[in-house]
Amino acid sequence: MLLALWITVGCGGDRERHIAGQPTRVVVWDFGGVPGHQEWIKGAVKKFNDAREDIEIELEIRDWATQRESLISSTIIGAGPDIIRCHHKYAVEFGELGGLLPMEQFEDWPEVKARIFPNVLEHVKYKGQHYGVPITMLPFVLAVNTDILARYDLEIPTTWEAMLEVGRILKQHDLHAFTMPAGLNLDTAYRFLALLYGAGGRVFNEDWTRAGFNGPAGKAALGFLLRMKNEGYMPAAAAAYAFDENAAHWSTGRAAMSVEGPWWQDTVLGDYDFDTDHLALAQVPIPAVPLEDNVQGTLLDVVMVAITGYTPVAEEAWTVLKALNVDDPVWQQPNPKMGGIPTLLAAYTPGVESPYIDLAQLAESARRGIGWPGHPAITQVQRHIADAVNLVMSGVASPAEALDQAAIEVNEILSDY
Amino acid sequence: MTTDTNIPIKNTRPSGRLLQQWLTPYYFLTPALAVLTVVILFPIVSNLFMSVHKVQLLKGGEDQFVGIDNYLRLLGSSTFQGSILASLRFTFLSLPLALVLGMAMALVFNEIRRARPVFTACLLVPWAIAPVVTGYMWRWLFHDSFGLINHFLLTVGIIEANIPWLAQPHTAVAATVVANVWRFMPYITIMLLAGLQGIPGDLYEAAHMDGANILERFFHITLPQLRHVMAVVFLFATIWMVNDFALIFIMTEGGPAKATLVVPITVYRFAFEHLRLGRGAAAAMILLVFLLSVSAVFIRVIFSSQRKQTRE
Repeated sequence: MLLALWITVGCGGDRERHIAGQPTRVVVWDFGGVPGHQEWIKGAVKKFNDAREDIEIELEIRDWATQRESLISSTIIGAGPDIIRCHHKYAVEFGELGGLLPMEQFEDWPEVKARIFPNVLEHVKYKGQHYGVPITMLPFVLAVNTDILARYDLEIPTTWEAMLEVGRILKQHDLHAFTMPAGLNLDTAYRFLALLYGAGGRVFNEDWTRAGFNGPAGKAALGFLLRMKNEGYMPAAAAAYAFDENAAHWSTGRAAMSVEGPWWQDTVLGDYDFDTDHLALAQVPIPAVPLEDNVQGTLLDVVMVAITGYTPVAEEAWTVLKALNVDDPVWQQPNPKMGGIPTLLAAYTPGVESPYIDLAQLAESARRGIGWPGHPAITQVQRHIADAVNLVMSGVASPAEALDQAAIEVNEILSDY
Repeated sequence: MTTDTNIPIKNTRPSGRLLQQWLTPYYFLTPALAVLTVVILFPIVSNLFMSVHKVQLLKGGEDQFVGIDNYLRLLGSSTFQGSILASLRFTFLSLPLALVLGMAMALVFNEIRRARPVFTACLLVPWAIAPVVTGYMWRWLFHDSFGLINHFLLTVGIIEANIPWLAQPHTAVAATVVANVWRFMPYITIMLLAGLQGIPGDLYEAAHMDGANILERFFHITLPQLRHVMAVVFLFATIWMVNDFALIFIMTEGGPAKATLVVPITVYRFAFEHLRLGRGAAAAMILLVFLLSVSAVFIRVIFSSQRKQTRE
């Protein structure tokens, strides 16, 4: 197995970082990123390498979907990149295992920290230490096709009840009010969580010893989705949709609304030629009356950049991380081509111009945003939640049955920690 | 029966030359045995070891011996039981369909006298396409709004509204079976075609002269002559279909409602998504034992009928 893992890691991290007479090599693994981000980072790396004689960045762009497998392999082997760009949930999973360095070990970390949205820093924090620098915020909002709503003189709904009413009217015109991926994939869990948080629900109980998503808020959120489907207000095939099918359904004007994030503007324009003059972003609708006592919010995803725990060039990696991800001008101005909105406070000061549609709505959602709990087993938990939503949307289980069953499985996982 | 105790006992120890002769075949076998040990025996033993442990892949601790606990938990899990049923359903719906259609195609191709290689090459296209590509192709063909299948059925008036093929358990199973049959049929056709071409023509001529019609010739000559080829095809197709991962994973990811969550996808989810490597290994061992049993039965049937024929 170790041989296989070593091959998986790609043997890329084992070459000497310091060679006399040559610049120190810093290896960066950049997971995913929309085309605009990839274009930027290639340019930024070239600029850095041209300007510096002491450090040379070696950039490797990797598939977003492979980050967990790659991080598992490199953490076990103890060799791999020096810097990674990945989802914030891995701050905890791999921080706990020593696969990532705490930022607190760098002297000027307090100065960097002071430049970032405070609530977003919580997403990379575990046991009092930060295991990455959050660079992009991805709050979940309601993406609206304003053309459809205007055609039938409808307002953007702010509550579940108003959404059902919009659904009733649009159904008369053979249109869906809402669409979302509800297949057996993680996209499903993310959309459900935006609704769960909106109803005041949480993934776990307070001390993270038991599942909490099967409480009143979770059951109501899933019941709401089921009703939308059964009434014909969302596509019957949603239970087979992943991101692409959902995007195609919305972008071709078959549905008016979808729960998405800052990537939506660039995705529907670039991949589906959607006229973004008809795109508006709004807060994800919530129930008129909260179902649990927690603060209502929406899901906030964060992309972070972290330094690996086994790097032999930690200081050089920190220099590179700051140059690329904190000081570069691209983070001072929200840009839809980058896939998310920046975490730097400076990007939202008066006078900063941005081509983002409804940036204020995105910023407000980010302010109210709640992340996935930073639990080392969160990916497994997400999978069980997706399974439950899919069971209900396929019509074979009730919300209570599906969520309670998922909770039993999640409780078993939690008991291991 | 008597034994002559006066016969001197022959020295059974081989001399140096005899020993050399005795060992020679093993020298030739050693490289192949070494490769088989590394690529087959070691993974199986390693997997068996994992299946009786709680593997702490990331926590850095010692693996904990749990005996058959992983097996017991799996066999008691409704997800695993469901995935065994899903695998059997997928295989035993696909296999007869693919065999019948493959046989029909083989019979047609056997009659083609001109440009047969061209037709054969075209026939092989579905088999040659990567399963991931096949999966995506069928996923979009079965799409409710944009899929060609709904479009065609609506156009000819067979359905009145789009069918969400991949969103309902029974239609999703049917869709994956259709895609699987499409992919496997060429392999079965080619194998049966080779078998058909090996049947002596004089058997048909004799039957024809005896007044056998086309159906009688098929059932009394073609099918019996093909039974060994069909047994081999059946064996390989069963192993491949029970092991199928990519096609179903791409088309449905095991959904909806776990209706297509076949055992290989369950193994993948246990091992690589939930990082319960012990349980994933136990599931893989159960799958291996099942496939070995099926293979053993088939091989026994094939060889026993061959022995019977030889005796006759």
